[in-house]
Amino acid sequence: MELYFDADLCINCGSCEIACARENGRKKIKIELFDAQFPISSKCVHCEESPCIKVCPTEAIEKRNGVVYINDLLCIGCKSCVLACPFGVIDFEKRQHISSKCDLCAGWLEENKRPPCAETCPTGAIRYCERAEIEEITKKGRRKREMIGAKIYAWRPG
Amino acid sequence: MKIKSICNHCALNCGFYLSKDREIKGIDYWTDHPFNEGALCDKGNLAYRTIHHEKRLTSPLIKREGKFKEATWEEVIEVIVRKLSEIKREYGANAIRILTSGTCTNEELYLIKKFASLLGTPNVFSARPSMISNLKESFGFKAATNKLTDIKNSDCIFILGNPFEQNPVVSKYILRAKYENNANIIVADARYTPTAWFATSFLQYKVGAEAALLCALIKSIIDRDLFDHNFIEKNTSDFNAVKKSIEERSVERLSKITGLNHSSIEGAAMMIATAKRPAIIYTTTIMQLPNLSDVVKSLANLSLLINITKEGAGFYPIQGEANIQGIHDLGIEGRQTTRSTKEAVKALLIFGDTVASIEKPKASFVVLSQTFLSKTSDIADIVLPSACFAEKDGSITSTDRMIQKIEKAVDPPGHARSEFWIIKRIAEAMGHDLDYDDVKAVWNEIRANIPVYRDITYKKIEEEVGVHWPYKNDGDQLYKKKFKTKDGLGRFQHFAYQPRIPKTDKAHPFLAITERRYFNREYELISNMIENITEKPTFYADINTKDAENSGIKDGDIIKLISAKDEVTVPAFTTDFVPHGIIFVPNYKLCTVSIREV
Repeated sequence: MELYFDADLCINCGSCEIACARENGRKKIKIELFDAQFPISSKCVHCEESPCIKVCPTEAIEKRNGVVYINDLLCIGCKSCVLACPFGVIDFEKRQHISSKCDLCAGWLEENKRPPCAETCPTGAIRYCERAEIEEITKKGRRKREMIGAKIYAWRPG
Repeated sequence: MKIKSICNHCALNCGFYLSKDREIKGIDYWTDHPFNEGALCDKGNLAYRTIHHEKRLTSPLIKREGKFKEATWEEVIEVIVRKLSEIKREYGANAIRILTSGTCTNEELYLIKKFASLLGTPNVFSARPSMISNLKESFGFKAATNKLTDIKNSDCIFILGNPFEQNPVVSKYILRAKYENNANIIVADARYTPTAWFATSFLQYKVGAEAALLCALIKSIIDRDLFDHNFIEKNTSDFNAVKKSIEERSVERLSKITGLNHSSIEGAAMMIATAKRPAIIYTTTIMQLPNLSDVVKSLANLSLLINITKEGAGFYPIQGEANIQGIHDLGIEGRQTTRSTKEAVKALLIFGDTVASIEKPKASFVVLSQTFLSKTSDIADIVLPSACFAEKDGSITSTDRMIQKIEKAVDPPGHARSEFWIIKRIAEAMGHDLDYDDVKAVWNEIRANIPVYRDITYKKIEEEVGVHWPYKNDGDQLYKKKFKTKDGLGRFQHFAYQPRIPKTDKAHPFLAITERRYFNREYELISNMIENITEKPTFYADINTKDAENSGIKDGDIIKLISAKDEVTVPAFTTDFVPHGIIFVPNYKLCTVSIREV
C-alpha cells in the first residue's frame, strides 16, 4: 500500500491540510497552486542521501524504514534543513517554531489505519492503495494536466 | 466509543463518527456511508470542535437595559408567554412571526409548525429565501430528481455555480462522471472558479445575466429543433406560450446581454440537448440575486426541454443549510419580506442557528434560540441556548431527499436544551398541549401528515443508512412515468431574463458579488480554525488586476469595502479570474461598493 497524489482530481479544497493538522498537531502536507489553477503537492521524496539529515545540528532528523522523520522533541527550529532541502518541501511552522514535513503518518500506518488525508479527500486525489489500482487508472489515459508534469506519483520512501 | 453523526455544515449531510471518551475527542471517517464514502470537506473535518467550544451558550439570556443578563428557564419562559399572549390579544395572532433554520431536525420543525397553528399564526418561514420553491409548479415536488450519487452516470453536466468550493464533497461524483464516463462538463459562472478548472466548456457571463444565458440556451435548442417533440406534447404544458414569449429574441441578442460569444452558447446548448443522460446542477451562488425565482424557473424550463425524465438524467439543486430540504418537505416556505409584513410583525421567534441577516421589526419582541452568540443576537430580547447537532435525537433530510438519523452523543452544556424541549415547554406554559414523549412519536405524526414520508418508519431510519423519500422506489428518479403536478404535466413557466442587479455609480464604482461557503452560524469559529491551519484567509476580496492597478492596490493589501450600509476590512488579492468592475467576496452580499486602502 502506498500513498498517491493525482493532480487531475485535486480541487484545492484544503480538506487534507485540515485533516492532517487535526491528527498530527500541525499541517504536514501542502497543496500549492501553480499558475493559480493547477494544484501541485510538493512533498518529501525521502532521498537516499538526505541533505537534511546531514545538516541537522541536533540529530533531530533520522531515517527509519526508508522514511525520513523529524523528531519534534529534538528540533530547535534552526531552519538548516529548510535551506538544505533540494526540493523545498520542509516547512517552518512559525507558531511551534519547528520544521515540519510529511512523514507518511508512520504512526497511523502501523496501526493498520489509513492516513487522514487519503480518508478525507472528497475526490480521491490522494489515495492510499496498491500500485496496480493506480496503473489501471493511468491506462485509461485521461491526463489533462500531464503537460505540466503532474503525473500520478507515489508518496513513498526511496 | 464511536457514535454515528451527520455534519450540519451544508445540505449534503455527510456522515462521520464521533469518537468519545467522556467528551468528544475527535472524529473517525465513515467509509461505508452511502453518500460521502468517508470523505469530508474542511468544514466537516472540524465540525466536532464546536461541540465543547468554550463560547457555547450555557444559560438563557435576557436583555435588561441594553445588556444580556443570565436568567433561568422559568424566568424567560414566563416572559415569552406573557409577551406572546399580550401581542396575540392586542394585535392578533398574525403579528407573531416564526422563522426556522436548517439546524432544526424534522421533528423540531414539525413541532414548530404545530406550535404556530396552535397559536393561530400562519407566518412560519425559513429564515433564508428558497432556491427550490418554484420547482413545485414545474415538476410537482420541491426536490432534486435523483440521488446525488447518480451524477456519476451522467454524460453531460450543466453546472450553474461553484459546488467545488461551496459543497466540496459532491465533486466526487462530478469528477467520476468526467473521468470514468467522459462526461462533458459545462460550467456557468461570473468568475473563473475551481469548478471551471474541470469544465469542457466554460461560460463566463456578466453578473446578473444568469436568466439571459439560460434563455439563450433554451432558445438555441428550440431554434435547432433539438428537443423531443413527442415528450413535450404528451408530458408538458404551456410550452407554446413560453416559446412564443421568447420568439422574437434572437440568440445573438441574448448573448450580447450575457457578454458571451453566441457560438459558445450554441455549442453548450448542443452538448446539453444531445446528451443521453444530462444533469443540471445549481448551487446557492444564485441566492444573492434579486431575480432568483426567474433563474430557477428558467433552469426548470431548460430541464423540461431536454427531458429530465430520461433514464439517468437529473436535476440537482445543491442547497445550503443542513436540513433545508426538510423545511420544504414539511411545507415551510422561504422567507419573503414585504413592507406590510415588516410593520405588522410584533413578535419574532427564530428557532435554529441561521446565517440570514435579519432586521429587527420596529417595536417588537424577538426571541432567538442559538448555540453561539452572533451578530443576529443583537436584535434579540431573549436568547435561548440550544443544543447542537451532536446533542439531540432526530432526523434530517439532505438536499437529495436522503433521510438520516442524528444521534445524541453528549448532553448539551449547562442549561442548553434542544429546540424540541424548548418548544414543548413554551407551548405547555401557554396552555397548549404538545404531548410527545420522544422524537419517535413526532415522526409517526409526520408520517401521517406528510405524504412523501408516509412509507418511512422510524425503524427504517434507524436501521438503514440513507433512506430516500419516496421510499417505494428508494429515491430513484422522481418523475419516471409522469410529473407530480395536478394534471401530471410538467409546466413551462414564464420568466423574465433581464438582469436586475444594483447599478454602480461614482460613489460606489464596483459591484461586489459573493457566494456562501459556510451555511451554519458556527461558521465564524470554523473559518477561524481553518484560517489558522491553512494560513489562507477565508474572508477576502478578489479584484481584477487592472482595476487594482487603477486604484493603486497591490496583491495582499488590506482594503476597506464601503457599501451604502456597512464597511468591512478584508485582504485583497489581484486576479484575472474576476471580470473588470467586479469584486468577489465570499460570504458577503451583492451590492455596490467603493474601496479604500487601509
